[in-house]
Amino acid sequence: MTVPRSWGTVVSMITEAHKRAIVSSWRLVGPISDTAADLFYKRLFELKPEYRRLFPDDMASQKAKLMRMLSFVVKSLDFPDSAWLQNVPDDNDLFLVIVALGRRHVELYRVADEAYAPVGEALTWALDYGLGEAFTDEVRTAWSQVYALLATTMKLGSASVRPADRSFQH
Amino acid sequence: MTEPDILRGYLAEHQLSHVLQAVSIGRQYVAVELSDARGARGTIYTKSGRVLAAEAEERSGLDALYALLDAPMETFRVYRMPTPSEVVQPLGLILDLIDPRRRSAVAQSTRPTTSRPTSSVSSGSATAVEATAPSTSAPRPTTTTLTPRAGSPPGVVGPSVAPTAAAVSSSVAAPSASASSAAAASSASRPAATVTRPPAAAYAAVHTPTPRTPTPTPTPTYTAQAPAPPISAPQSPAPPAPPAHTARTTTSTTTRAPLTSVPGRVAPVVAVASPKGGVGKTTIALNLALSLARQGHRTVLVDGDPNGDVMSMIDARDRPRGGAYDVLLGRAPLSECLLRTALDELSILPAIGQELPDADIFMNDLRPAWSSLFEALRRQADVIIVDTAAGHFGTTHFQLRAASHVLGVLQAESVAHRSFEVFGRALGALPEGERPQVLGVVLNMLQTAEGGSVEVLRRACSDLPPSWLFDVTIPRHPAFLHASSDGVPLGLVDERNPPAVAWLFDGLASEVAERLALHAPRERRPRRLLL
Repeated sequence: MTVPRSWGTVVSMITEAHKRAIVSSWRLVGPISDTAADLFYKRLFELKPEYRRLFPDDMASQKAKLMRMLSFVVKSLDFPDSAWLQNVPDDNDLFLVIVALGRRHVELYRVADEAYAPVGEALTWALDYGLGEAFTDEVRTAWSQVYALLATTMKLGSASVRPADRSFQH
Repeated sequence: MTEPDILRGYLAEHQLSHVLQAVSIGRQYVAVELSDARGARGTIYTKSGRVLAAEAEERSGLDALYALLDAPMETFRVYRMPTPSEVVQPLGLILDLIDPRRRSAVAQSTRPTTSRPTSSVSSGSATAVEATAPSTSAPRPTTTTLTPRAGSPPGVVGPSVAPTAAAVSSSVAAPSASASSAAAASSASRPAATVTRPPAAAYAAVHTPTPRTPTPTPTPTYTAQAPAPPISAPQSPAPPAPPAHTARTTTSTTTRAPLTSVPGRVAPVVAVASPKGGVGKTTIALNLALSLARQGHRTVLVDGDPNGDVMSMIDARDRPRGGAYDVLLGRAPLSECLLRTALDELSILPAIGQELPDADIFMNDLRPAWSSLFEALRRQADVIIVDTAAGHFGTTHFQLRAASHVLGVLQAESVAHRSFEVFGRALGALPEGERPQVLGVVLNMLQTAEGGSVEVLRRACSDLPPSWLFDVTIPRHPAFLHASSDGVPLGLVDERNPPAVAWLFDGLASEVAERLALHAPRERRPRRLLL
């Protein structure tokens, strides 16, 4: 069976086991939230020093925003399959929120597609360092799959239609 | 909603698989429309990571989906669609369907087989299904304008559409195709109390061609997936479908069935539980099941308490030939133990028959047995209510682990209130993955004249998680004693004139149905009061 041209990479399904791994590993990050954020940016700027100037000098609020966003992602993943028909308000919908985030990254911050790879690496590194033994292979796989989906969605930000008002306020 | 469009772009810049992967992480009703130089060529409808439907020219279902995925398209438009008035079985999970490795596996399993019945129905019950069969069993003309590339899965056309969809949903969701299709057909045969809007109206109104289209495209007609006809006849003979629906024979005429009749959707199993005994679990379970059945949901009431109090409550201890515990041990078949009732929609599985079970069966791990019993019941029900023995240990422990939801009963009395503290903790101690979701907590036997009783209500409102407590509260009332003395549930004490307190269970049933999302969602249609 031939696959059509430019099919692109396909992420395999996020299974229930992956969701559980994400939720339970994130619970462990909670108490070390500040440290995790510090680790992430430290690693990111090690990998890509040129990104430092894209961020404000005082990184406190940036780190808080990052952790809030990741919390939101984890919370969004943590819903039972049986609830798939429930309606979700726009500002709680993972797809809409991440698309809007991606649009801001493209339009305001001029982040290139290439940036998503080092960001993903830094995130994995920070979780690995912060969680230690709790960062099992399953947890690693789950986070990289979720991150891949998030990155794919954010890159679509450049195709996003500017809505009247769709901002992330968490 | 001002701007329904979320994304618009060129497929040269963004790969279609990426667009679909992104859409899959959301939980709104979202449609993906694909166009080439000649205009819009098709649309994929999604919700919560699932493909609900797809249409492309005259194709629909998986056929259309793969045609759209394979054919060279130029632009995509992702837009929000209004909640459809009906939900049909999803074709499958997006990430699964677009995975090239899975596609070849799916293609293998969806070759049309002559052994599967397509438009012939075994009993006269599925009149509504017959009305749709002609539209999907006619072989589709292959369009020259939208030819898939060579090597696309053969056999995903024409009459195999229904079993295809069923096969796919069985590869991604738990229930088997034949089982869930039996559920679909038998619910389609139920007397229709509500009017159906054919889905074509819902989708056609939304699907507008993109402004860039040079030539106007015909409005696509959305033909819902006809549920595959049942392999075996449904439990009760059904009345014919109302004539109002047969006027539209080319579009789906499935009645507005509760959601669980949609194959792929698993019927919830609700354990009614409490740490303390005598708080009213059996009363609540019985009357709730009755009300749910009256509201149109096919309900099975399972008595999980080996003491068999459900039969005591309806003064029928001498009736059952066998019960749940006999089925669990393989001593009697489920079909012989499941009892019919005055309501078609309500069946009861008593705990025991005339013989007491051996005490030592309770030493075993009964969870797998309860699990498979619930699975068997799920095929013929929209919702299952399980009355449990008091406490969270013993037999109740296994039922909780096999159930999908738990409904806690809190008696408005001090001792019961103190014991209720165990409820959350005991649930937390269950192994992950075998922990039922808390559907809610109902306050029972409230005595408004007693300060101590009201105090429990007050404490419950402040101490329990806000989403737990049901709005409906059941008072202590002599009607309950009269009903049990008569050996009937409250709602049947006097069918023409039920006691006022009986109506509370209808309210509780509505709340339960809402929390379980038992009804297919549809758009709100408010109506002005004054003429």
